[in-house]
Amino acid sequence: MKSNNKLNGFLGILFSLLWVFPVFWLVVSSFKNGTELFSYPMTLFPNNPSFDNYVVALFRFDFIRYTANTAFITIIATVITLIMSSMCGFALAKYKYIWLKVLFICLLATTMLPTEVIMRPSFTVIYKLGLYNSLWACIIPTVGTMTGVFLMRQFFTSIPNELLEAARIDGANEGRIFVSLMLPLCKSQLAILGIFSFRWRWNDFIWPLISLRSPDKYTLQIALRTLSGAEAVDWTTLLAASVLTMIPVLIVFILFNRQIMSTNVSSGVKG
Amino acid sequence: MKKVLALLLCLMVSFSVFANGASESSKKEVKTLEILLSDDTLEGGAMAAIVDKWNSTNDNFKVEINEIAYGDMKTQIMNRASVNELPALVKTTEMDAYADFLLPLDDKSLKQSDFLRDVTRDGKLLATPINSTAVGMLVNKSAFDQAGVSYPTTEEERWTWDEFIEAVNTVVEKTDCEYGIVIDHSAQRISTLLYQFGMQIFDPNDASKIAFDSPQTKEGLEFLLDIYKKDISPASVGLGAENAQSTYKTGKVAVHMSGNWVLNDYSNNITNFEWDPALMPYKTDKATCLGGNYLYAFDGTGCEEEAKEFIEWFYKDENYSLYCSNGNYLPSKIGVDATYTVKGMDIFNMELNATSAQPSFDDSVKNSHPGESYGNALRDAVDKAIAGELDADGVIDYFTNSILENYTNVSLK
Repeated sequence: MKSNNKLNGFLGILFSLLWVFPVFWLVVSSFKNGTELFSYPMTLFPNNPSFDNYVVALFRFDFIRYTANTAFITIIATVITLIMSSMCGFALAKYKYIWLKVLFICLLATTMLPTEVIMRPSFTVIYKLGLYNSLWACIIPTVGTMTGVFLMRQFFTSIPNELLEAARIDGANEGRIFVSLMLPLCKSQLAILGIFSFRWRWNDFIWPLISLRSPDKYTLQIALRTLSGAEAVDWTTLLAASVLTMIPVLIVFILFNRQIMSTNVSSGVKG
Repeated sequence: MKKVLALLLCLMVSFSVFANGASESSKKEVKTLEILLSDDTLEGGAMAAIVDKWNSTNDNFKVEINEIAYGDMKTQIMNRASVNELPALVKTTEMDAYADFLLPLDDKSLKQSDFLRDVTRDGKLLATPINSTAVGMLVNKSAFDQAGVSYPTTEEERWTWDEFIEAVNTVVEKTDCEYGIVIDHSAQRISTLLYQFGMQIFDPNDASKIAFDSPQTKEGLEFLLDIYKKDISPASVGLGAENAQSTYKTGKVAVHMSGNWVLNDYSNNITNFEWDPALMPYKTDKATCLGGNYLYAFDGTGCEEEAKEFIEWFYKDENYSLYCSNGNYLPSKIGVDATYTVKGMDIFNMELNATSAQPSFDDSVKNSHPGESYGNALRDAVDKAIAGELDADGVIDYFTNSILENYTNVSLK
C-alpha cells in the first residue's frame, strides 16, 4: 500500500512537471532577446535576462485598455454565468415537473452543437439587438453555458430534499431557500464554475473577433493575434504579452482553489 | 497574500468599469476615415506615420488606423460587410475577392500606368498597389566568409543553380552550417525556383492554354526535390512542419530563400551571425515573383470622397516615398525612390529589374479569372512529392488537374 502511494505520488509529480514545463519555458523565454530565442543549440534560461520585451508589450498597443475590456467582459460574464447556472441547475434538480425534464433534455441536446454552427444566427440576433461593436456582444451569447447548468444541477441533486422541506416548514419562500440555503452550500461548485468561466471568457477569441470592430473595444486576445503577421511573428513581444495575459487567470485560481476543498452538505439536516 | 490578490482583483474590476465608462462617453465630432490593415506595426509603423502626417496637416477629416491580425482580415471584412459597416479603406493582400464592392478610382489623378502591378479590373482602376515585395535570397554571410565562398551581388556574379549547390555544399562542409538552403513553405517561392528553370503556368501566346507540363518544369521540379532528397534542405521545412525563418535564424543554414519582407525582422533579431541579401541563381531565366499589398476603398461606406482624397494625397511622391522608406517597402509607383534603413533593398530592386515577364503574365491570367482559384495546389503537390507520394510527373499532373478543375475556359497546351 505504501509503495503504491509512493508510486502514485511520483507519477503525479512527473505528470505535473510535464504539464508545467511548457509554461515554465514560455515564461523564461519571455526574458530572452530575439537572437537568443533562435539560438542553436537551444538554451533554457536566458543568458542576459531583460524586461525589454515586457516594456515593448505594454507600450506596443493600448495594453491597459485591452486588459480593461477583457476584464469587463470576463468579470461580468462570469457573474451572470454563475447566477444563471446556479438558478437553472437548482430548478432542474429540485422541481419535479415533466416539462422541466423535457427542457433539460433539450438543453442537453444543445451541447451536441459546436458553437461555430450556431454562431451566425447568434450573431444576427446580437446585431439586430443593436449590440454589434459592443462589449455586451461578447458577454450575452456566452453566459448560457450548459456545462455550468449541468455542473450545478448535478450538485443540487445530491442535496437532500429534507433540507428544503425543513426550510419550507420554517416559512422560507423558494427565493429565500435558494439564496440563503442553497448558494452557501454550493460554494465550491461556484468556485469551480467561476474559474472555468473566467478562463473561458478571458481567452475568448471568436466572439470578440466577429462582434467588435473598433480598436478601443478590442480584447487582449485580438491584440495578441496582431503580433502574428503574414510573413513574420514578433516572438519576443508575443511571449511577454502572453505571460502578462496569463497573470489574471493565475490570480483567480489562487484565490478560489481552496473553495473547492471545503463543503459539508449534510450540516443542515438533523437525523 | 490572498488579501493582496483579492484587492488586486477588486481594483481590476473597478478600473475596467471606469475605463469602459470613459470610452463610451467620448464622441467624435470630426468625420473619421478608417483604414483597416494588418502588420503595420510589425513592419515599422509606416502607415501610422503617414496617418499622423495627414492628421497634423489636414482638418477636413481625420484618419485612423484599425490594425488587426493578417489572418483575421477576411473574417473581419466579410463580417462587417454582412452588417453594412465596411471600413472606408483597406490595405491587404487580397483584392479580387472584393472587386465587386470596390470604389473605382478613375476620376482621380491616379492611373494604371503609374503603377508596377495590374490593379485594373473590367477597365476600372479599383485599387492601388501600396507596396511591392520580391522573392529573394538571404545568405549567412558569416558562414560564407568563414568558408571562403563568395556570393553574387552583381549581375555578372549571379550563380547558376548548379554553382549555387556547389557553393552551399562547400559552406556546409567547412562551417557549422547543417543545411545549404531553407525555402519558405510557399507556392510563390517554389514557383520562383521553377520560373528560373523556364517554367510557364500559362502560355504567353495564349492565356487559355496551360503550359505547366514541359521539360523545363520537370527539370525544375526534379532539381527541387533533389535538394530535399540529398538533405541540402531539411524536408521538415519543405513540408512546413518547421518554419524556414526560425530555422535560418539559428545560424545553421547557409541560405534562406524568402523575400524582402524579412529584412526588418532580421535587422532587429539576428545578431549572432552576419547576413546579407544575394542575387538568386538561375537556370535559363532570371526570375522573381512579385507580391505586395493593395490599398483600396469600399463603395457605400459614406466616406467615398474622403477615401479618394486620402488615396490621392498618399500617392503624392513625397508622401509615398516617406511611406516606403519608413516601412522598407519596394515602391509600386513608378519613378518613386525610397531611403531605406535596412541593408540589401537594392538587391531586391535588381531582382525586380532583371526578372522575366512570365511570373507577372501568369499573375495577370489568374487575375482574369475572378472568383476562381486553384489555391495552394502547387505547394500541396510538392509537399506530397517531398513526402515520397509523388514524383515530378505526379506533381505536374496534380497541378494541371487542379487548374483544369477550378478554372473555366482553359485547356492543356
